[in-house]
Amino acid sequence: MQVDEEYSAYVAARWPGLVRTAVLLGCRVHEAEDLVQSTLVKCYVSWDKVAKATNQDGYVYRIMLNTHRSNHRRSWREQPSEHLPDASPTDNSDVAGVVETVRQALDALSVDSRAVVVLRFFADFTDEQTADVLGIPVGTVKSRLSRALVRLSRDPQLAELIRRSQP
Amino acid sequence: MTEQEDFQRLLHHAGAQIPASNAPVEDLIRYGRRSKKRRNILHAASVAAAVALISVGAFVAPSPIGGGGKLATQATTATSGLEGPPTTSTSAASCLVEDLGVTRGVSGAWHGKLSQIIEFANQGDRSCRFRGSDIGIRFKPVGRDPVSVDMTPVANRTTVLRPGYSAHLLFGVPGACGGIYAVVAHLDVTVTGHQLRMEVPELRIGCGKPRAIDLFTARS
Repeated sequence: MQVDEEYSAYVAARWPGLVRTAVLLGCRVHEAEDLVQSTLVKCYVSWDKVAKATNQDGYVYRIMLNTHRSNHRRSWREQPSEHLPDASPTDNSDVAGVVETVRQALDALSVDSRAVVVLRFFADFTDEQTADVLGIPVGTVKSRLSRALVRLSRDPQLAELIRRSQP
Repeated sequence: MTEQEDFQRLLHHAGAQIPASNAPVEDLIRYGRRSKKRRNILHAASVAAAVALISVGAFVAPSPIGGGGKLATQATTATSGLEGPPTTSTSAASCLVEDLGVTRGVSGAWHGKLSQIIEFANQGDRSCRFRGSDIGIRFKPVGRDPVSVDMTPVANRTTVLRPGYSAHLLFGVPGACGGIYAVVAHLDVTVTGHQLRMEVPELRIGCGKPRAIDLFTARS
């Protein structure tokens, strides 16, 4: 089946990038894999639309961000549990210190600004593509990015990481 | 090098250190096919229901029943809510009575029958398995004997309800006699053995044995 072949090739190529994007958006690794899985199942169902999209990745990232927002809203309704579940071996405590530092810095941003930063700086979308994925004007992307950079530049740990990673 | 480039480089550096397992391509295709099939069934059922309802022009606005619709519960025997990711679970636990909100959906007509939809919304935060055999519906028209809905047609139907989704039970009564609006004292809905009695102002009860027609899932 040609659709399955196209889909398989797309998934195999994009899976790591999507999972990593989801982690930078604030998910734990296992949550990120669940999110990407949900996203890609939705993509399979509407693969004809994905395949026809001018910006295929943009379309997929939009689905992922919408799913992420929806999950995020749902998590607000979750009740705290008295009993914590056993730690999962795939829990994100296994990510390297640099990831945790970056993620903590990104935690200081609003959900919308964080999405802009991750799409622009990690997924390498242009301002226009980012605006299209998020459904906002290009000017809003630029202003959010500018404010986010100001905020991130005030993070001493992030500044130290940048300083150390200078070639 | 600009500040923007610094952040870009740092994010790529951090991203590269995030572990990512191999893509479960075969699982995704399998789940995707299942979702597609479910979507097609739902679409067909929705279109058919809309056509049938419009053709008779007998809409009754959806209204909550039972004082807001949430089932009062004395459930003590419900199963565990453990299961996998919402979109991929095939072995979800049975729906807990306390997680289901029950409302009266649209009433109208379906292939010559007077019809009524009862919605069971998953108000919990986990996917759960909802079976046709778990439901019972009985009502008591004023001045008549109680009537039970024959659930046989949907008894073997099972659906996995994601949070925010509803199971819609469509049942109908032969309406060849012209469709009688009757005052119904109450509607008893039973889920996994737990009963909720709901007051309903009126129900088109027709003139024959009520029978379940379909059970399908939709977003609440």
